[in-house]
Parts: sequence; C-alpha cells; structure tokens
Amino acid sequence: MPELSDEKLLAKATAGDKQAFGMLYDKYATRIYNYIYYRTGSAQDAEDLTSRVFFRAMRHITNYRDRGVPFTAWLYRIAHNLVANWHRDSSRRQEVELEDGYRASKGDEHPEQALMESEDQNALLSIIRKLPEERQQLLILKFVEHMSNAEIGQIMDRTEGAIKSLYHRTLLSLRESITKDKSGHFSLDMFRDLPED
Amino acid sequence: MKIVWPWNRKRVERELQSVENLLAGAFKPVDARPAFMTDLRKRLVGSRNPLERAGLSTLLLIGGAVVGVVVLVLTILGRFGGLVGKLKFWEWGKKKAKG
Repeated sequence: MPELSDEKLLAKATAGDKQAFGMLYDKYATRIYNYIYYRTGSAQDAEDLTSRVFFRAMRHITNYRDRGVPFTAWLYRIAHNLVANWHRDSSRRQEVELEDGYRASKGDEHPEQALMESEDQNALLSIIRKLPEERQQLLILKFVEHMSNAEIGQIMDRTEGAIKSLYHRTLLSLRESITKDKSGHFSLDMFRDLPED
Repeated sequence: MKIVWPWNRKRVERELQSVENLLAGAFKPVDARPAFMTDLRKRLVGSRNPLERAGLSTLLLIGGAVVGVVVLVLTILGRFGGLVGKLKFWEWGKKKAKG
C-alpha cells in the first residue's frame, strides 16, 4: 500500500480497516514506546503499557472523531492515562534505575566514559522522575519526541504560552534540584565552570 | 519559585541552557525489541504477509481457483491436440504430392 496521510489512514481505520490501523501502528508505536519507557524507566513495563495503549486505541478507534486534536495527541493521552494509572495502582513508584539495554550500545569504544555518562544520565533521570507528572510529560515530549510547544499544548490540552511558561519553571526547578543534589553523580559542577558576567 | 533578579538573569539563563544540554543528552530515543513490535502488530491486526492473513476458507477458495484454471487449460490443450490429430495436417502434404 502506498504511503497514505494520517487523515486517510484514520478514515479507513475508523471504518474498520485493520490494515490501515496497522499502518498507524507502524508510524507511532516506537514513539509511544519511547514516551512510556521514559515515564516508567522499565523496558518490560513499557512493552506492557504500549500493548495496552494500542489495544485500547483499536477498541475505540471507531469512536474517534477529529475534533481538532491530532491522532498523535489522542494516542499520547491514552498513554498518559495508562501511565498515570500504572503509577497510582502499584507501589512501583519507587526509584527504578533505567535499564542499561540501549545505553550499552552507545559507548563500546570508551566503556568507562560511557559508564560515567550513563550514571550521570540515570541520576538526572531519577531527579526528573521526582518532578510532577505534567512536567515529566513535557520534558519527554520536548526532548525525546522533539515536539514544538504548540504540539505539546495539543497533547496536554494547554495553550502554547502555558507550555512555554511550564517549561521555563521546570528548567528552573531542575536547576535547583541539580545544584542541591548531593549524590555526587553530577558533573553539574559545570555551573561553576561558567564564566562570570 | 525563586525570584530571578535582573543582575543574575544572564547567569541563570546560561545555567538553564546547561540544564537543557544535560536533558538533551539524557533523553535519547530508544528502540523497542523488534520481536515485541512485530508480535504486537500481529496480535493487533494480524500478519503483514497476505497469505498468513488469509483465513482457511480464502486459501481453499484460492486453491480451488488455481486448480480450476489448470484443469481448464489442460482441457483446452487436450481438445486442441485432438483436433490437430483428426485433421492430420502432416498427411496433407503427402496427399497433395500424390494428387
């Protein structure tokens, strides 16, 4: 089947065309997986929740109506709700170190440096996971999905200005957490290396 | 939230830029296991392979159609062969020569 636009695929999928839904899955599955992976910190849970997102989407796709919210936003909202339930339902909210799976491939040439970087990144991610949910969601959509403020606004049901402001507040709060962090993980002495005004 | 005084603004902006750089380094896109992606797709909408996707009745129908076409072609060839046999084209030349 030739490459079809989201609108055409959606029209077919809402009419019950399974293959059209399959093509939407091909387009968005990895993105949803990434989002969930960074929200849960576990590949296994990311797989489980990604499956649930797409089964739920398939069950409800016939009810999907384009009300100005793009299909991606609809999918992310399903993912967001399921992740929120996942955090609520279980005591799994405890610190979960990100698995090393994908990071192992990164620094094969300089394993020590890769390990240090990985530790720093994990420390940062654990600080991020202490942020309120909406801020975590914002950071993932911005840095993993590279979405604009407007696109993030559509997913989070906020204005572009509100997202911009939330992002700024999130950065400020992260900066504060990082400077207060005493785990010794951070090479965030980088703040000290900055030239004075 | 703490107030950022105007004389600190430049420094704070640079620090925020550093935080952004850290975030960009920490959030790398990850790949899901290919086996998981393929399996989930299969569970959702069935296989990509049209033969695997087709049900037993469809496969029987296709098989029947193929057999039907083969039988038809063989029958036509057989009839054509019979016709050629009856007309005995190879004897026409001999008859002409005798005549």
